[in-house]
Amino acid sequence: MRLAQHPSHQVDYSKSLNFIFNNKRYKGYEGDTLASALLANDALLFSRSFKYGRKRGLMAAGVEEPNALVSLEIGGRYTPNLKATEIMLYDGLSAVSASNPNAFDMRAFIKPLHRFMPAGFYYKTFIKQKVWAKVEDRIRAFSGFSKAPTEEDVDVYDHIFHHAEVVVIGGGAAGISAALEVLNNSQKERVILVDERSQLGGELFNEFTSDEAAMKWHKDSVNRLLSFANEDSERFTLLTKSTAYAWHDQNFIEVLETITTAESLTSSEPQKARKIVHRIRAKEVILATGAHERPMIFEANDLTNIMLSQSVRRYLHEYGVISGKKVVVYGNNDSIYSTARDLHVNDIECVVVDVRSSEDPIEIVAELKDSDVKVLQGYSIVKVLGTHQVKAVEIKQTKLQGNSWQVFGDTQTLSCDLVATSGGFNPVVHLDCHNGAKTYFDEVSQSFLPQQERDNREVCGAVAGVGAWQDAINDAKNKAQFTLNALGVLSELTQEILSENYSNYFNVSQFFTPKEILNKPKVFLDLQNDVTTLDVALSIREGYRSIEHIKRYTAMGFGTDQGKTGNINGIAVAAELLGITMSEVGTTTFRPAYTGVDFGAMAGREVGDFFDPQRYTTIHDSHVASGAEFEVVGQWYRPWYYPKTGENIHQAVHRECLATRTSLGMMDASTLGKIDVQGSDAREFLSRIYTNAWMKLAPGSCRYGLMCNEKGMIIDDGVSTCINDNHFIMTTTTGGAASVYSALEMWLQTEWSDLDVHLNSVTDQYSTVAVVGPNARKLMKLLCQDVDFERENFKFMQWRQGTVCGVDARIMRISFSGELAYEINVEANYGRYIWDQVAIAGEKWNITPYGTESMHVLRAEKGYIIVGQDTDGSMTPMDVNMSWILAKDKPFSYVGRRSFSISALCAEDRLQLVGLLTKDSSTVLPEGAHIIDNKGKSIGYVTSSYFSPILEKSIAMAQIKGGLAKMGETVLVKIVQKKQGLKEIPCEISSSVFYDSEGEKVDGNE
Amino acid sequence: MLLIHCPYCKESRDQSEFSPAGEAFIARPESPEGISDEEWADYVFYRTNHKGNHWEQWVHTNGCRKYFLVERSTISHQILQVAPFGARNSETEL
Amino acid sequence: MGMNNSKENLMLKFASTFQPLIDQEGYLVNQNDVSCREVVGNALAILRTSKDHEKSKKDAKEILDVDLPEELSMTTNNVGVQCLWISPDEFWLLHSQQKKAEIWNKIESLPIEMSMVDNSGAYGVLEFIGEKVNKLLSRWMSYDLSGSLNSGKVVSTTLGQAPVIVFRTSEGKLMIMVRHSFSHYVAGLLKDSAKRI
Repeated sequence: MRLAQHPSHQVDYSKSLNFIFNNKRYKGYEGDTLASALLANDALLFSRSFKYGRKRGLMAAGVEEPNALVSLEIGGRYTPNLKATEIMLYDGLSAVSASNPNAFDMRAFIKPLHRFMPAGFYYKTFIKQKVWAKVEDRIRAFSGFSKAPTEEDVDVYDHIFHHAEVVVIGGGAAGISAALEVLNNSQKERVILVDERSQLGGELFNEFTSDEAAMKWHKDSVNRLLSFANEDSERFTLLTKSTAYAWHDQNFIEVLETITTAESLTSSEPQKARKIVHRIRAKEVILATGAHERPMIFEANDLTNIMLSQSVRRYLHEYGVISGKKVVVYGNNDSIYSTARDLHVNDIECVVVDVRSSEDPIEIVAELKDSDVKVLQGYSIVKVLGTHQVKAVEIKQTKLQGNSWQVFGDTQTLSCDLVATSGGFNPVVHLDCHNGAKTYFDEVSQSFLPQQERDNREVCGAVAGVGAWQDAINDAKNKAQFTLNALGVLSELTQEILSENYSNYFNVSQFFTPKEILNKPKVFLDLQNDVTTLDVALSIREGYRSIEHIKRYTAMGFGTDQGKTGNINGIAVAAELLGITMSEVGTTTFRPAYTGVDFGAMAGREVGDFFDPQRYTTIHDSHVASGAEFEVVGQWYRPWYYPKTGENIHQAVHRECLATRTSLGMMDASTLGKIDVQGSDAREFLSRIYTNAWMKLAPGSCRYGLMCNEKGMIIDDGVSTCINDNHFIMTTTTGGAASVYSALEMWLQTEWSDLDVHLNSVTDQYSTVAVVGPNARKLMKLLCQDVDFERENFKFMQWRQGTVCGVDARIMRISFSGELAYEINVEANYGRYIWDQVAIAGEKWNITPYGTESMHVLRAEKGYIIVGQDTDGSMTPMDVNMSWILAKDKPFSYVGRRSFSISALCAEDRLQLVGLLTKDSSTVLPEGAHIIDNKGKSIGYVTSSYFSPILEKSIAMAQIKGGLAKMGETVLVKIVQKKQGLKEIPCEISSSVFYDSEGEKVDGNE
Repeated sequence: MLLIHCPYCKESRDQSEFSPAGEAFIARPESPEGISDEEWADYVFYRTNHKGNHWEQWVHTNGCRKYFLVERSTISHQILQVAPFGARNSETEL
Repeated sequence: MGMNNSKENLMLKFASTFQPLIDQEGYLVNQNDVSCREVVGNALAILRTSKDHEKSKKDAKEILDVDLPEELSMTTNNVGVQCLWISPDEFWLLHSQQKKAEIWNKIESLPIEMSMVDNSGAYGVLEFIGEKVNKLLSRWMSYDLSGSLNSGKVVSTTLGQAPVIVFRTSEGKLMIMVRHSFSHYVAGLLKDSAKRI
């Protein structure tokens, strides 16, 4: 229910919002979370638990909440497993429980069996029976999590890079104070303050009703920060509703900002981002992440309306909401008295139960007693009564004997409808541990604290074990001064004098883990995963000792809350049962992400067209206009084939190949990598990195080269052009351009720094139009008047400088099809112009543009390899029958050469590249199909396979063990056909040159 | 994502600008034909896969395109020092 | 078909890198607080030098009349030529088309350890103006534009996954050079992000 309005409330009572939860309509206010709005409507049931399907309500008010999992919205905006405590209410919000507490549930139905289903139950039952694969789906369907989304996410998510000198994580009293201290005492240092809530203040709101000084400090400080954000936005960035979920190496912090609002869900143009991942690189980090409260443990502690004490306070102060009328406040530290006082001030009946016996009573206890609030010290709750919701608690007397808690005496019953518990506070050390820091157990605060000294990082406030808000503010100022010093900023500290109304929440007893309670059933440690004290005991009985193992055996600390409330209690229980200290047990490892992060947010805008760069040549628009289908090669969009109306890929390729072989084809070859090689040692360099000879290649000529790595394996091939003795232009494969360029630079920089060679990528400088076919010479003569194209004057593997259609061009007579071919290279800005001119001028020879598919067919007919298709990084030049390209007499042992003589690379049964002809010439083998010997064992596979239009038969290339010595032999290729199933196709091993083996076509007509 | 100081650009840049290029101080044998298969294999294939402080080669792929040396802890990912190529030729050399 | 009188010959020969992507005034993005416009008419020569910077400086001045910058990542402005120091032995000379012939006429005079490559067709140049330039680019660039890219500085970095050269010519103006094959990609990213800054 909602209380009367109060200035501490952070909801705007003038803005009423409608929302739907589990198909019921509710009203809330701007500033509410889904959780607070539902509590205000007395809707207490949120979900069913993961394993047993028990009905659960809220335990907390923030990120640590284990129970209230919901899925938000539907369709393309559906998001599963969000915490109701983290969803800011907006008008029209629609959510359902991850596991509906009001629906029939199979797990609850089998309740009598629960005691037979301890940790490891499913594993033991089903793995041994080998039926896990069959039942897994059905068991998982039971679990208390949302269903996975089925539709594509329609929202937009952004990524933003930030750089800051100081990042403060956490916007409570300490974080506000630290950020202000840095801003007030420096001139240009950039500061980012990150906080997960919508309002800065953290737990400070809880002090507002009892301490006006807290309210005033908060108001002044937040106003000051806001004015920095408004007036100097370059210097100060405030990120609220933003969770720092990962802290990576070298102070790289990832923050998820949630901006879901009613508008963001309905507006489409310009489309707002629903979530943003901020990627911050910081010089210094100040952690002010605060602490999460942990619950006390007792029997049936998972019933609805058993909440953390500070969360009860937060609902009360921030939202004006309370979910009970008669409250038992129970715990082992001083914070419970503040809760009781605040409840009392709001006229809510309460009783305080403190496990500690009073020896040195603090002031507030006396105040409460004076106000007739019942305070029971030296008592503990052993059990809660009620079916789903709390009706009463059973308490017993308690004392600490040595290091063990004893529970004794008669049971008393206190009726109540809400239990607020506090078992102490867990500093939020997660982020600090993400990049390697350790924690240590501090006996005084009974908590794991972050290690004290670290470079470029300070911790302040509750995360550092500082429990009172006044202390946290001054601690933060102090730490901010250290940070300023680290940045070389000189300034002086002034401590702030704040109110005397003082309570140290870290004044706490040791963990309350009496055997009498641990041995009871339904004492839950991890509510999200339904892990009880008995599960931990079982895992220890079964021999697990490390907390990492106990975690994995019981599933304690998994799930969306990552055990933020329950894990430490689990560690305490393990310590108790193992008879060792908290410190000896230690914590499990904290890894990113601190909270759940949407996949969409991780991907950002790198989806769809922006997933990977789509690289286009300058001729792209002409290809599009010609109706080309595209294929991605590397990141390039290359024309694949150019279908005419009604043509499929086979028909188009058939037409393109025949036109090229019989008259004229043209192709955009701009995507090949091009590297400009200059310097007095350019020749020597080419000799070292290619397998063949380069010393005598004359200016005006071109040469094909094969490149290997030191392992002797082919990595690239291409034609290099000699411009002059000190200048070559190398081409690489389209996909290999970047890696080859990198590898070449590596040789030059790390091994051969004495060579005078400069490499420059000129891939983008040139557009390349290949003119291919017997009529190519006639066309070139028409296009270019200042070059002599006569066969004897412009020979195969030569190049000329000329003017094509008025544009400077380098024309290479090289061929990847066996036909007469010229490649026209012009400055890229003229690429499309030249392409279009070639197309127009070539019309009289029916010039036909062809794509990569026809290119593949044409080269396969000639047996030319494609590196990466016919080779896979484990092929030597000998393996692909190219021993002819290995220079024998080069003085320098070129890259890869030494490996050729290693015995393994000389073995006769290596996979070798051969041709393959199907006995039935119409059958085209699938690429990748295995070739089998007469015993059915694989002896290789098909690398390239096509139907050759000019030969009118199927041709293929294959890697076969010892294939080069098996010419003419018949082998079987095993394929799977849709209807017939497995089929073995007889083929003959042949030369891989299928067409024009004499090389007569390369000079073209005339 | 690491932050790597490029000794040439004299600036710390995001890892996305760099590529790793293997263990440092693996020199190509001067006379490949003059050594045994085992010695050649040692150069081509074998690396220390060291746990602890480790000298590596990195290249500033999307920056100055220079290769340089990085001493990095393979445990904590902390980068202890960087050096331009040729500044040192072994781990022990100062 | 004669090449000199066909009507196709009237087609524009030269297409700028971003030509298919810009509006009539040359803009990719044109909003109140940020604009991005293609600058055309520049040519680019890449000058490579030896390790001897003092000698390179002397040669560049004498032969090309270009002052090389004093430090890596810095730029100089010369008559008709802007010089960007990209890598220890690499200087980019961004110059007008008119200056092009003048520069290339001198290539024979360069000493053997220096070389020069024409890369004019490889890059498109974008000019960014407006108070939200950094905000727009921070969607895609990890480089610290506001903290480290002062006037006169040039860096080679990435925009999304595209390699780019970024330099600030004056307080309010930032230039980015993009390889033409990445121009569609980069234009797509910029136009998309500009909707949400």
